[in-house]
Amino acid sequence: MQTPFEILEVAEDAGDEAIKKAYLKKVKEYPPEHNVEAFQRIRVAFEQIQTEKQRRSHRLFHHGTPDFDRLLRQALSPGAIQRPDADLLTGALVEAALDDLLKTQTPS
Amino acid sequence: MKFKFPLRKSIDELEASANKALEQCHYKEAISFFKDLLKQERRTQWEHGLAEAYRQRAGQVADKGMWQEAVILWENYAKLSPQSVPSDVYLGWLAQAGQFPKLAGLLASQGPAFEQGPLGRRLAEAMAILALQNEKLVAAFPKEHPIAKHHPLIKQAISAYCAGRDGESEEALKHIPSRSPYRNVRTLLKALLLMGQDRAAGLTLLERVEADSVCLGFARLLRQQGKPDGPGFSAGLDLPPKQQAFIHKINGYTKAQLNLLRDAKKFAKNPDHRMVFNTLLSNRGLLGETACRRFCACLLVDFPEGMDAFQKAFGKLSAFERQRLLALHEETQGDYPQAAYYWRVAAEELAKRPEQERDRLDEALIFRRIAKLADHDAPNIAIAALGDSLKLDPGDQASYVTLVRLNEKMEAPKEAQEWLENGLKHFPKDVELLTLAMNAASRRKAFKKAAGLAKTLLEIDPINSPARQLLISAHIGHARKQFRAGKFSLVQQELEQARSLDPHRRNASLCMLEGFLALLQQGQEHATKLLAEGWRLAGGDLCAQFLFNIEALSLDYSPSKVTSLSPALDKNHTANRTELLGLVKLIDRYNAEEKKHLPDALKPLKTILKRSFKQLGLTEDDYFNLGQAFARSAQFELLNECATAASRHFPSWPAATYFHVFARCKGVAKRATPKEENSLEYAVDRAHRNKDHRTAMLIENFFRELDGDRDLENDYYLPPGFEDFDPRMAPAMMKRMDEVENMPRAELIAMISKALPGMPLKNMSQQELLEMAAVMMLGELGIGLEKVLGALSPGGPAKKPPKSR
Repeated sequence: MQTPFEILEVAEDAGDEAIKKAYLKKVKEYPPEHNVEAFQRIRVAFEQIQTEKQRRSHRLFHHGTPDFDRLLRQALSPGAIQRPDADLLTGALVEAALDDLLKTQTPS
Repeated sequence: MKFKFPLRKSIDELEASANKALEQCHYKEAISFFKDLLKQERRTQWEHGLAEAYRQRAGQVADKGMWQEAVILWENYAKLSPQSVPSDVYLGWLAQAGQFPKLAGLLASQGPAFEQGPLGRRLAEAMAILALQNEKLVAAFPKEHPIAKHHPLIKQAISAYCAGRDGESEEALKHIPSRSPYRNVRTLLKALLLMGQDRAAGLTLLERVEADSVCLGFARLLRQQGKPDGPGFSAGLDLPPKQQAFIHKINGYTKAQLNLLRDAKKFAKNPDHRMVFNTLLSNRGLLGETACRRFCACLLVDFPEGMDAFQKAFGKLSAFERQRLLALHEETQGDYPQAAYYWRVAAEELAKRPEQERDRLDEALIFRRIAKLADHDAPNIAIAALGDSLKLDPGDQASYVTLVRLNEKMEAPKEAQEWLENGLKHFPKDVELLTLAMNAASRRKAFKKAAGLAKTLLEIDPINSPARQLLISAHIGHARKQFRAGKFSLVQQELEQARSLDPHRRNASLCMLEGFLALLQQGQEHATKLLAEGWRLAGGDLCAQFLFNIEALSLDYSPSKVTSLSPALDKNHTANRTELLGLVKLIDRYNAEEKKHLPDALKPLKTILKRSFKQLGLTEDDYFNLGQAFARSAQFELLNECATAASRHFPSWPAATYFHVFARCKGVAKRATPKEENSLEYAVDRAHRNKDHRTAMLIENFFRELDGDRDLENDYYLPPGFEDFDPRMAPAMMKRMDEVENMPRAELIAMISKALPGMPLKNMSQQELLEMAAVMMLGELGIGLEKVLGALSPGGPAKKPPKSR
């Protein structure tokens, strides 16, 4: 889950002005009449860190929900391709072709 | 003993059973029934039925992975339906069952025209791919068949690609024509070759795999899992093993990445905080120190046991941070008293810092957090915490508002007023605080002050409706006084000022007063018009008549003498719910403004009201509001009628019992008879059981008043069991009981564990802890434990007098 700072794309030590500017930029990017959901996210994020007090409260009392999928995606970014052996390639191909062939459950 | 032979079914019965089994998807039974029928006679519809049952049964057994059986059943179906063509699933079953010669023979027997049709092309391609693993299948095709002809080329291309001889692979692929059953495999290989140099371009090339190809799924998988920004981890969890291994190769995963994947798979389906935490820590090199620290820190809230391991890995956590994490953990567990305890310790840690490093705002925010956690269940703790927070950060408007609200809730108007004044010193133009101050002044009957505040409010917020209403009421009040004094020019001035605040003519009272003034100044016709307008605005005939009566009385008119001026109220009128609730509001309003005229204003409406209480459709809430309005305005006869009607609709409703007693005692608690006290005790229990807190509170207040009267007579009240004790002990005991009841859970545990080390106190309920603490604390007063325990009510420790009933 993204933090409000990530949603608004501002540094965690950004001040009121910078946050307001980032918020207005984001609202222009995602106007409510075009993307209600994105706008809501932006609005909620802004309301969480709009003032110094809110930012402090956020830092003290908010604990993010760890997004493991995102973390793992970063850790598992592809490297240089390793050539598989021929048996693995044909095996995977046959496995996928049979899956595809059998995906229609009732013969017609 | 007689032997019973099973009765043979008639043909009709058998046919019906067969069709029923087919309809209900009992294909095995359907096959048996149709076979029996066909033994009797060959009928086309039965043959069709049997064929359909075979076909469906084949699908059923294939779902269970019984490929051989599925093949046989399908072939039985095909025998009965000679016009049927082999389907792709049948082909798949044959392949799964390892019947390759049959597979090849089948395709060859269909002829070249079939292979050019959509199904034929798909089957030929599947066969060509299966042939990559099964040389026997290739041998089953004639040499000139494209599968047999192109098989060596594609094998060569695959071997060369896998060995890194890209040129050789590309050369072999060039010889595979675009109509070959291997054409899509050729595209796949070309894409894989390209991905080596340009991953994104290779993935784009995969889009050329044909939509009806059996390679399409594989191409999609590569596109999804081979993305340059990494695959969605959870999306690749359910892949079959070979495809998964292939993807790992294509993504070039290192051993460490594969280990991480293996660990991650374990907790993906069954998340366990400890496992996740340990996996993250052991893979922090791969995940990156900063990201891993951040994620582990998030996890500590759910898994505080990991704090030591976290510190070993990432360095020491400050004492404040540890308390913060523990507090957040308790919040997630819903243990707010414990969370508040940790927050308090966290604030203490912050306060220990040297003056120049001390962060007072953080401390204040923590106290506000404690207040928020305690707001509902322990308002006195919330009040104390907010007070502490304002010492550290006095500029927080919301805290003043909450303090006012909480003190009002705790029936501490003096404290509420102090906080209100404090708040207004810091925020003199704050609408919320000004509104609270205006309402408080009205309640204190400080009307001048209230009107002043309303004026200030309207200057800041010209559409502030409560302020506007209050000012209108103030002008109307003055107008009434001047009217009684005969100073009609001043009446006119006041009414004009009120009218300027109500230009849209929405205030019924104002119209009526204008009407009465017009009677003196402009004549009856104009007066009648204005009074009719007021009548219309009042919200129903009942409210209108009440308004008319009370406004006339407030001007020293007798309503009966001026009644001809107003529209008449039908004597058989039954007031609906809206009218009754409107009347509740009016009674409450005039209870503050013109209390002395209320009885006379309501008197002519009694018959209508009594009839209206009996109507169906009034809820418990409605009766409660009506009852409260009559109780507040000391209309005991109407209160009694209302309670009687309510108890008919809602038997055993505790509020009805209370209203009956209150009405009979005319609101004076000490007039209650022992029998009435008894019935109220039952009613308060019922109210608590039904979670009807407001009724419970009313009855408890009644008891409090009753006990207050008795205290005056009996020095001080002691709970049952303490009668032989010196009553001077009571105040000290009550004070101790209060301390115990308001003590945070963590403090309670700490206190008890000092006296009783080793007790599993953390597992005890709050009630059990309170009982133990009460016993300990009262023991300090020199009261024997047996007596103390005896005095504890089953629900908890001995309570203050009203609760101990």
